[in-house]
Amino acid sequence: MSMAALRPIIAALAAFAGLAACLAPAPYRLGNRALERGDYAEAIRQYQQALADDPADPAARNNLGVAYLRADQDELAFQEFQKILVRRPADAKAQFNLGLVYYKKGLFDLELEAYRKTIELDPGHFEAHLHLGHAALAKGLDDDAMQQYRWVLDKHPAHPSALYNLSLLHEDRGELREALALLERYLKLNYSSRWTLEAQRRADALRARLAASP
Amino acid sequence: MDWSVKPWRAAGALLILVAALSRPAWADPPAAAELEHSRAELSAILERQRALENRAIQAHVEEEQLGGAVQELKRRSPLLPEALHRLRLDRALRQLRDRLLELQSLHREQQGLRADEERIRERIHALLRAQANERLTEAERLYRAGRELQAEAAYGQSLELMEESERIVRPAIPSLPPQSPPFDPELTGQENPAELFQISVLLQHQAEELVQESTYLERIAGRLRSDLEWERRAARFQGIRERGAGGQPKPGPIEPELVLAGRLAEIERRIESNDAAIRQLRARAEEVSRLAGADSSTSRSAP
Repeated sequence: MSMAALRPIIAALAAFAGLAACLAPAPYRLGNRALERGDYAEAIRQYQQALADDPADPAARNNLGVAYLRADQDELAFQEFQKILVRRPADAKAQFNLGLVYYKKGLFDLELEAYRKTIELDPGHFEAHLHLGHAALAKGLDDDAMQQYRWVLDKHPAHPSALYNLSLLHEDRGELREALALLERYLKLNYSSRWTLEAQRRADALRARLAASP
Repeated sequence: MDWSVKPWRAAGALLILVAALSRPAWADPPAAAELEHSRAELSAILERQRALENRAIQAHVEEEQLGGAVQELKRRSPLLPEALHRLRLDRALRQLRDRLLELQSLHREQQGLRADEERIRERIHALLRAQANERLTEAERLYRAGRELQAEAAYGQSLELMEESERIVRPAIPSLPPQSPPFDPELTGQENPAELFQISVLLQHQAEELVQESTYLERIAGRLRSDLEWERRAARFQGIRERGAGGQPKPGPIEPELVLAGRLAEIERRIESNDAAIRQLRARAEEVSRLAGADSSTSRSAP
């Protein structure tokens, strides 16, 4: 076969290869898939590849940090979130994830501060409000926790842990009707977890106390 | 330079060189020197505390032996002449009082060292936090300048310093030292007013020591209560342990609830027992002091 005859075949093959390369999932998407299935090592490899292609990609860097965090490589996660904040100081997602690193490291004051900064940067950051509620609760800052759980329920009225925790906080303050109302909302979710039995027991106890009170 | 004439200069220069080399290359010299100095102070305090603890254990053993000897001598043997018996009893009592005074002084020094330790730990905490922030700023500068590897090293140091700053103010809670019963000498009725006054002061000092110990124990109990509260809240509320990425529950950062509750109960029992001993010692001190007053007025009115 002459060279002239091969030319169209070579051109077709080259075009096919180019098309295949365009259609192939980018490392970022491959990283996301690996992250979803819990293959953190693969996710890290793919995000690193994505960053080799474009070191300024904040989404790839953020997800690389998340993959490190889930793989318990907290120091590396810390570096990635900090690097994002150098270039994008108002990146609420990186600020929030930094809060998670601080939690895992037992740096609870810095954790609270990171969630508060996240909310300053993005007042609608749902996870930051929820985590700030949990973190405040752990530190005994009940008023702050109640405020955050109310915000969460305003946006997501059926949020299980906000309903459950806010109910307990009301019960601790002797506000039994509010506590029971929230608990009944929680039980209506038919949410199956280890907390459901406890919620049922608490609801019965609250009903009994309310019935006994004048 | 004539090294043979001034060897101390060479040694000094060598020490400075060693200190400079052993300090991390990134450290800000004045801050690092202050941190080093504070760490050295803390380490000296901890060493002194260990030495005092060992001496106190030894002194307690000696005190118990002397206490036994005094009791034995009080049951006077009829074969021993009165004067000799009195001499032996006096000597044993003096030795016992010396030992008790030494113990009091050891306890006072221990209390002082505990206060110093807390103050220095707080200082180190603040210095470490400042250094962590300084490292973070430096890491940001390096990253902006495109020196990523150096920036990563600085980020790592910053996080390590933050963690260390937390650990330094949460030292392991020491186990309680054995409690020896307070020394309350039986009166023979032959003590003169000066001796009675000494005994009364001794009893008051012992009460004061126990008050100081209880104050220290209250501080430990406060920390245990706060850790226990964290554990109880984590068990009672949703989401406290699950804040890490992935929503998986993580073990708490502190000891399990049962261990904490056990240690707290032990400390609370000790505080309760101290309170009872303090009341008893103060009542006895007052009683002996009254006797001393009565005796001295009797002796003054005697011809």
